[in-house]
Amino acid sequence: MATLTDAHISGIARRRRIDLCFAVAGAVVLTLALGVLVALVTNLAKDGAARLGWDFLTSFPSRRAGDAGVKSAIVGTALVMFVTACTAIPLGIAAGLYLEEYARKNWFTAIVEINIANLAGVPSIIWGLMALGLFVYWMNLGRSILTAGLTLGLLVLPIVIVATREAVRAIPQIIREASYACGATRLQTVWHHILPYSLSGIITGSIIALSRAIGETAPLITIGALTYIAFLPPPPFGERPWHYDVESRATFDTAQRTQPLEDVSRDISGSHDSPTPSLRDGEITFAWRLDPGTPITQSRLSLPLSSGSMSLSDLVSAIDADENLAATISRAGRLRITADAPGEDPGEFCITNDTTGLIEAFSIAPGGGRYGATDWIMSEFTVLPIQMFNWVSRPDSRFQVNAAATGLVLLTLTLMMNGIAIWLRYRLRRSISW
Amino acid sequence: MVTTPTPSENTGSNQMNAAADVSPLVASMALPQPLPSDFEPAQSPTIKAVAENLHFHYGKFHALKGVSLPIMQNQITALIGPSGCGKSTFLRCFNRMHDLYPNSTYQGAIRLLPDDINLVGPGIDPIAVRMRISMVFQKPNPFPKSIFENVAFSLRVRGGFSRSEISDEVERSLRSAALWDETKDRLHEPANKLSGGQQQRLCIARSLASHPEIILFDEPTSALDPKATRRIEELMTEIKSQVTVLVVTHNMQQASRVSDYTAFMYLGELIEYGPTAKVFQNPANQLTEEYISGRFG
Amino acid sequence: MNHRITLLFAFYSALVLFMHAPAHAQTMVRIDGSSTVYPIIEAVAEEFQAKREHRGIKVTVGISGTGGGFKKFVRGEIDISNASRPILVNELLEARQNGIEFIELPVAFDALTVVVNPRNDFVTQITVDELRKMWEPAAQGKVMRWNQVNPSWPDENLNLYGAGSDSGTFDYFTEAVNGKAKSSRGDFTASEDDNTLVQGVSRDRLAIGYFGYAYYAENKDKLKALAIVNPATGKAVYPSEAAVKDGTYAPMSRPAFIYVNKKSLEKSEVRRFVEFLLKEGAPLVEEVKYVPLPAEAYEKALDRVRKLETGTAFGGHNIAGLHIDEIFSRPLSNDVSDSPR
Repeated sequence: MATLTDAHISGIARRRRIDLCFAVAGAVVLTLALGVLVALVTNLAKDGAARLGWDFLTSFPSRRAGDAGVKSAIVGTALVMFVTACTAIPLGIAAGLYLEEYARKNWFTAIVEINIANLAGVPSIIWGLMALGLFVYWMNLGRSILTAGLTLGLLVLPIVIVATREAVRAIPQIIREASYACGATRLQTVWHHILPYSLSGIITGSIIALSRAIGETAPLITIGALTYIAFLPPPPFGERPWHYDVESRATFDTAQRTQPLEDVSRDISGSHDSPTPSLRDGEITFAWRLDPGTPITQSRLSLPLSSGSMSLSDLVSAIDADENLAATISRAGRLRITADAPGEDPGEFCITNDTTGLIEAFSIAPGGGRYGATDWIMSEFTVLPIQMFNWVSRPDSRFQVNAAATGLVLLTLTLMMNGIAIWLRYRLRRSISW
Repeated sequence: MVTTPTPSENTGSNQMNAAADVSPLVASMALPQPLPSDFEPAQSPTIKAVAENLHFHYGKFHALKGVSLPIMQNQITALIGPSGCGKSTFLRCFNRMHDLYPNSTYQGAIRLLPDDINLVGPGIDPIAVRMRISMVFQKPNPFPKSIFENVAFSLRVRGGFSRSEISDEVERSLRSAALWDETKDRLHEPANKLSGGQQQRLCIARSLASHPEIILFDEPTSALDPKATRRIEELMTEIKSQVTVLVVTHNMQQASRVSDYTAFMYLGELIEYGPTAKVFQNPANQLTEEYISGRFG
Repeated sequence: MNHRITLLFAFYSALVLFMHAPAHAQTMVRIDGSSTVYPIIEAVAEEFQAKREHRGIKVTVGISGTGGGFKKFVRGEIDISNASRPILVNELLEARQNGIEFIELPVAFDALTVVVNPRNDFVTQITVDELRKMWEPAAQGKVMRWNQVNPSWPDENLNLYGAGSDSGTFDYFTEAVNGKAKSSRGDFTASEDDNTLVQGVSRDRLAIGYFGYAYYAENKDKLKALAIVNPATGKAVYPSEAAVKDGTYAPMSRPAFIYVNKKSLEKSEVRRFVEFLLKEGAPLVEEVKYVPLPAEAYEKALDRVRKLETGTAFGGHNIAGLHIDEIFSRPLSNDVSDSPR
């Protein structure tokens, strides 16, 4: 055994100095990074805080910077994130569990693993282009919340898979053996042990994945996310305002008032939604003819068209109150208005529209009843980063303030999600140790 | 001493008189023909399982080379030998633990009596095996769940038990594992709040809950202090009236203290098997003697 | 724990099952395209939807860019495409292939504004020839100083700021100055975000740049606009609403278009939106700092809508410097023409 020489002693001092240098360097780098972050956030807050308020959160986009808000963008972001979470998280967990617990380790799984790691680095615009081809054109899902959610879901899927695998790998093998030794199947082991014990890691990874997805702009613009949208997606429950279904329509020409409805009927052009847009406010004109020889009979009827809350039965009594019209409700729940001319058969009717010059034959239905629980998923949308992107490039400098305020909203959402991740991890980890 | 098994439920070509089949093997295993004087006739053991020319490969590595060994019912059989001799490998053949890993191949047989099933046979579902033969591991490995759920798990995987049945079984198992008094007021607390020794007893309770026929102990006390070790050893002695015990141990004193039979393995082969007293006091094989006296291993 | 997981799983399965609920057709006007035209359409959409009689009509506007908008338009996915240039050959061909007929409507003018730093005291007006000397591809790496363009200007560095190559502004400027869209030198400070160019020119005494009039109008204190010498009259004209309207600010006034799918016009909501834009859009155009067309031009556009006159006046080519009267007097065609003019 060597004895401790003076050289060794002075060596200690030198080694300590190197140690200190490293500590100082680390602290400096950390301070710089934090400083830049704080500066960015402060700058954003300074610019945007003034605009940030209830008005800003509850207004639709506008040409006037002072009136513009992020209502549709917040709702859009939340719904897209919901779809993203519902796709990326279960798929990512399933894929991660499969790779860790089920798949045999061979060249195929090795290739899959390498590719998952690579996918995490693919630029997001590429995902957008792929999603445009796959979801929009091939699967025909439209430029909807569903498409956006699936696109971002795919974008962050590798992150969830990697997080799941890391969390699953952290579970000691001896726990798996204990479960199998009790006679558990692979699924029982995964369900009762692997999944619950890795859940905190998976959730943390998933929320990190969602925080990445929430800021994405490029793939959403590619698939056709909107910028100006002044309405919200339909709610998942509640009754639709009544609307009319256009059964047929044709160009209306005053000279051709006698155009028989039968001709018109051949031109079926689909259905329309609430509430009676192409009619004069508060008033619809019914015009009908029973056969080509008779003159057009007209009736003017005032209805509170703007009121979506008018019940079907109220509507029926309002129409019945008109001496020339009768309303019935079919078994399918569709309201049919008929010309109740004395001594003649009730006929189809049509509505003339002076503004558009269209003749429209239709029946009124209470919106097919209630909203479908997932109608919203096919709705158009916008998201926060797109509003930011739009406003930041506008000439009017007041829009820059809106962009900063949107940035703050986005930052708050991200921080909230990370907060939830930390809290969940703390909650779930408390009971789990090996 | 050799019982007549009841091959009643056995069907097919495997059906044979197990006793007749086993006896020549047992005779060749140098079983105690004249029983040692301290052996009580009432305990005259029957055979619970028997390994016949068992070979095991990890990939190309030949880990067990034709091991043949009887396991006596309601007795403790200790497997001893230096590290790498294959004793744990042998133990883990009994509940098909090797099936969890790729490239494991069994040859030969482990026949579970009295119904004469080849545990390592091709048509046998490892899950069915594990439902009859449970295991206690080297390091206490309770699930990070409550004490109650740890014990209930092997019943839950089977399914079909009512709430009260499960809770009865949990109580019975905890009592058998001498853990009931310490835990009856905290059944729903996390298991990993227990001490190491308690955790290992919990693992024993967990393995008892399913009424196994054999419990495999894989060096169950190597992670425990002497006091907890003693407790586990007592427990093994207590439970052998309910279940057949097979224990791998590094600890020579433990083997001599608790086991009724001892098998000494070396380099994947069985070197010597016999009643513990005989193996320790009068080993037939030179290697056994050297190992027991601490000259290698 | 496991109950919660099971619940989550059940909820998720239910969600997946419901996903294929049919979407209801809606009273909607779908618009997409140029981000340059976007502020105009946003203003019109906002005002349109605020009207009581339009309650229930939903207007959506996207900013996929002129090219991106046409891509959707020729597939029949949107009702209206916003464009900062006329429809081009490929788009025309694809539209015809898909049976899409369209009505081409100029809706406003933008004055491309050439700006310098306010501290620049040696230049107040510029000719198209001088601009070409600065921006033509051959100038790359060679024309680096002001006096190389005009000897009366000082021997100082010439710092160029221009639109990024993906923008319609770049296309129009290069067409008007160099005679060919996208033909430009490459060694200049380029940005898709015009605010970046504003910042650049406002901080650089020797800078010259170009962008849409709105960016100049919002930053008049930081920038100095140059008068452009009209090649026809030889008079230098500053960018202004009047100059754009009377056609003297040439060739730097560029029209903004919308293209309306003829089939969509059968939908009353689309027809009403287009008519609203042409009848009541002018003050809104002005509000967002673009130049409205003369009233007669909007009348002519309305006439096109009423008569469903389809086709383009540009034959699939990007022609710069046309007067608004010329745009309406040129024959409409659904075919590609051989020569630009």
